[in-house]
Amino acid sequence: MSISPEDAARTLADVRTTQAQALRAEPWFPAWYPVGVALFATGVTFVSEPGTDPAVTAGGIVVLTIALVGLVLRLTFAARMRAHRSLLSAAALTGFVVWVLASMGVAFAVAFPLDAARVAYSGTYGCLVMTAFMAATGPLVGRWISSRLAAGVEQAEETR
Amino acid sequence: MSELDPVIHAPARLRIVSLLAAAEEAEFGFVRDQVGLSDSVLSKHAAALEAAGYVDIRKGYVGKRPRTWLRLSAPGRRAYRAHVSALQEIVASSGLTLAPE
Repeated sequence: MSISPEDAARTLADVRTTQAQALRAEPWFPAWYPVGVALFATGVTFVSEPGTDPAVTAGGIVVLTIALVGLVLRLTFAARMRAHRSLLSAAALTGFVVWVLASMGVAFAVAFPLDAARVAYSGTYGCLVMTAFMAATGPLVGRWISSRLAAGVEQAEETR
Repeated sequence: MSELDPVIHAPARLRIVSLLAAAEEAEFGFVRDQVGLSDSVLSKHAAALEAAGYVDIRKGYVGKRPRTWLRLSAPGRRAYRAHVSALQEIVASSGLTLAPE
């Protein structure tokens, strides 16, 4: 089996294009996933508010954990496409971590002042605002990361 | 020196394998839409790649709808890399550049 250098170069370019298009077609994570995780945190803070019946706290945490496991299983086994881990660049991972930390910062920025003012369910309010923040910004972050992965494939000197 | 792999040399099949190389796993409909093949043609290529041991096929459900996912197996990923290396060697030996435009 033989192929001309020109055809080989075209084939490699086609491989890169196919990979980049596929990576851009789907966000790195679906928007519902971080929203679900944030709602889990919201639920945990709600059922663990001081003064809550311990049985309600325990039962609530069990139900929320089951829901969280369901989210993870859906993400793992029902996604249309999950980018290969080898493509994840340090910059993309850093961007994701910064976004998660910023989301947590939003929650704390709301919860701490409310808690200082002795408002009940301050943590829950903080997590609700975090959920809204993640719902609003998550799709942008997911698309940004997938575009970074696609650009990495396009700019790589060697096809992956 | 790496050799071109006849199992994945065909353009449509190489597009399927290269897409799967960028993915942990991809749903059949996603691969079909991205590669631009019909269901039946993709099914035939997927079956051939599975028979060669290059692709693992998983069936499941999203809600009540049946779905199929494709994943490049470890031998499939090795074969893909060797095929790409062979292409790169052909290009490099000719003096053409591999750098993106």
